[in-house]
Amino acid sequence: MDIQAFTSTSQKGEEMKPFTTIAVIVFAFVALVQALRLLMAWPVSVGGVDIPMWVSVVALVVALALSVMLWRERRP
Amino acid sequence: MYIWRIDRLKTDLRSGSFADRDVLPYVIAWVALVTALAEMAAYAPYEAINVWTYSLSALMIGSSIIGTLVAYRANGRTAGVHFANRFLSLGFVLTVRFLVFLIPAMAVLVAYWAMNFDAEEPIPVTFVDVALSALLQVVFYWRLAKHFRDVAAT
Repeated sequence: MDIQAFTSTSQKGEEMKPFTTIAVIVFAFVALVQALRLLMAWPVSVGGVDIPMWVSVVALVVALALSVMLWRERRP
Repeated sequence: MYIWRIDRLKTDLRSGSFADRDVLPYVIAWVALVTALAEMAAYAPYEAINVWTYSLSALMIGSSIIGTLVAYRANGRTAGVHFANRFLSLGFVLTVRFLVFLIPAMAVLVAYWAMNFDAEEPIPVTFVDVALSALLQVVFYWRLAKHFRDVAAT
């Protein structure tokens, strides 16, 4: 994998670490999975308890917000 | 509000440009998080109560208190300033950074549960859960104390 593809340099000369980009991707992926669960109405059951859809709504909002805020903060 | 750039946050905290009003988004984020977790606990799957369940509860409460005291010490004890502002802001950014590790780890854990436990059966707390939680708590508060020391050093 070309690590340079994940890095950029800000106006202050700070190099954006690939870890920041990975973090954006992780949160975006979580948001995507939650959105798919809502769209497809996937049932989720843990320990005999059905996880309601509103939990996915909360998770979607939080993950999406973190992803977007992190992306904005990533910029110089 | 910073959610990731802890170096920039520490620079603001050190320089004194982090005003009391700047801590408001962090307070709201913490309050929302704690309230949401408390509400979600009502819907959480029940656990098979055993000695490790109690051990985990004691560990989480005890380590949180000890960790906070360690952070207070790193801030300079009675000579330290702006402890609450620093704790809320540094703690929040550190939590977000930890989440990036925890999310893939939780995905692996859920996959393990799905393969080894019946979805209708309660999931027992084991020694491994307690040990991993202890490790996580130690690493979290160690990093928090390190950031406190960085800010307090100037």
